Amino acid sequence: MFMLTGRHIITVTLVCLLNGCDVSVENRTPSAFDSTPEDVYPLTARVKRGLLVYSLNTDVTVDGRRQDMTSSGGTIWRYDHAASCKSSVDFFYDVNYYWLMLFLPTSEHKRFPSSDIIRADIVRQPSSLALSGSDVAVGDTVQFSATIKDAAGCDLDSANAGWSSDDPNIASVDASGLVRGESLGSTTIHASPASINASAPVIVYVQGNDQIALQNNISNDNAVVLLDGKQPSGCVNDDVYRGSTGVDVDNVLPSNGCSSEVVVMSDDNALEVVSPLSLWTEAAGDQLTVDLKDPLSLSLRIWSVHGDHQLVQQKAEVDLIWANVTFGDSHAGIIFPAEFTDKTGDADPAKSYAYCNLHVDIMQDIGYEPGKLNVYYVDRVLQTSANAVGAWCGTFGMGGIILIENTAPISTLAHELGHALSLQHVDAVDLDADGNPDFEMWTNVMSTGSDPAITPTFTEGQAFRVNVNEISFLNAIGVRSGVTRNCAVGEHNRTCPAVTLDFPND
Amino acid sequence: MLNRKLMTIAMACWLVGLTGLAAAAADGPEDARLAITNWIRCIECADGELDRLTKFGQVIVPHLSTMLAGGPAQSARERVQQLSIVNHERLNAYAKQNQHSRFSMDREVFLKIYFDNFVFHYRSRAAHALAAIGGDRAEQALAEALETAAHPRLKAQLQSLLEQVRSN
Repeated sequence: MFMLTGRHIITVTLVCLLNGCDVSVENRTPSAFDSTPEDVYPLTARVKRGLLVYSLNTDVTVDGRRQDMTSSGGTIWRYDHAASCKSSVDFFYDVNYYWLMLFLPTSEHKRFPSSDIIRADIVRQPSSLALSGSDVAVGDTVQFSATIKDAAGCDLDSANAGWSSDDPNIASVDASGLVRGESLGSTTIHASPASINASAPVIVYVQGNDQIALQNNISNDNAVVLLDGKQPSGCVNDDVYRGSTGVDVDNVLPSNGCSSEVVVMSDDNALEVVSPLSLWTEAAGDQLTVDLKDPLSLSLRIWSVHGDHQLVQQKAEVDLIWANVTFGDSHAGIIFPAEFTDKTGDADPAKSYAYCNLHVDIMQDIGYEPGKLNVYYVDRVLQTSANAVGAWCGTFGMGGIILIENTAPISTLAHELGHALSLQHVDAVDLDADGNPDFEMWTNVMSTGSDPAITPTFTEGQAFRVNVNEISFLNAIGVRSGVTRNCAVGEHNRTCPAVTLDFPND
Repeated sequence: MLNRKLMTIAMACWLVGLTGLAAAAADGPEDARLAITNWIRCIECADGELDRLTKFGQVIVPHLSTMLAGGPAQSARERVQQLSIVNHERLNAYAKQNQHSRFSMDREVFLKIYFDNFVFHYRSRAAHALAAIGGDRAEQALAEALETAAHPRLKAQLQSLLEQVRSN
């Protein structure tokens, strides 16, 4: 609601072309605007001459916009405050009316213009208040600002925001909102214009670096360090650093509304997720030490179902190395030790073992080892099509089943392992500018398609997911413990890096 | 990086063989090319790859027949062989440095197996697509391929697919 108060400056200039014409505007002084966001004020205007009263058709211009005032029984002045955000408003009143010559044999209308200007001040009460500012180094200043709005969302003057600090010894603030860092620490800045108030935390820090140290980096490679935290620049999410023994980072401050997490990914160590919420201080030189562990071992049992066992095993070994290179170079921190079993003599010639839904046949006729990923090399994998080359069938009990065709491309096992570890397809193949398939898309192991030419790699975003996704086989059977998430392919937020997060290995 | 470049070249060469699709169908030659690519290379093939290919119908039978008869283009074969050499070196080096890995396959066997598999899958997928489309020309292509096929699994597949086409 907007109140019109005080003395309105009313200039009424009524020009009547006939002497003695008396035009009066009733309810000319608005008392209240009572609808939001469009405030409506009813106006009745009448023209009197002697005993005769004539109806009016009127038009009114408000803030330069012409309003239709032809509604019967009076007129309406409209002022859309939310759209205009004025501190005062002018109503220009332009009356056209018709005079009926009663004594003429036929009716005759004549037009008599008149005008009326009313200026009304609008007193607006603060309804909301928001502060903005940033952390400040000791000895530096930073300008805080207050955004004050009325109920319609219109900005109000913030010159007198009523600034104060909870602890002026840490951060002082003057009447204009200029905050000065006095000493290390955290405090709160307040603004209290009129009857409302708001506050914002401020950290007073020193310029300098903190450090994330890496212990037991097995291959001494350039590990990828992802940092979430509060820094002088604001909240950072998955800022990337590379280093073998540690990395220097800009001063990381107490979290103060930002997530606080460090992820370390290296070639030959398990992925580490650390939440050093209380470690970081306003001082420089804080050190977080991440003790890297051995890579996670996800054991496979590889069963030769069809074909020449020796050859099948040799091919499975190669496929397995390819998978190990893929998951190692991509910083997933997982290795796949495997044991091989020859069951070519036990396969029932009448059964294909080609479909996942035949898993009971497979488990009974060939074998199954709980607690492991069971990989079956078979003549054919049909799954849902006439001619697949691999399939991740899912978890059965505390183990999992993967089918691989004996002639499958070299990347197929790594691809199915990716599915077992929660990864989804990431391409669909796009067309490039020339309308040809964009084969760069095929370089990722989790492309829908494979080829001998595909490279044994996926992204750090995918490496993160195979570790932390709740449905990853690693977590499903307890190979890995620790924080779990549910990071979908398209999801990129403060807890899930983009699936495309990708850094060349070195 | 080397792998990626080689792969791009290999695929470009392979695509040369697809240029005969210029007047493929109402959906356009690019769509037909993409449908063939997706079908040839799919892993699980559970995303309707074969259906999207067979909708082009008889118009792509000549091209699929050529793919079945001749397999990948010579340039693509050479590039894939080069890639296999690169892969072998990389995987062998990894196995030597990591005790949990074992690489007992001879180099020559490695190169032969993965190359043969590449050619086999290329021709096998072409054969399956022809059988799914059907018709006299598809049947003829399958029959001709069966006469000359040396790969035992391809031969068995062709026999089965031919019976399937003839029974429809």
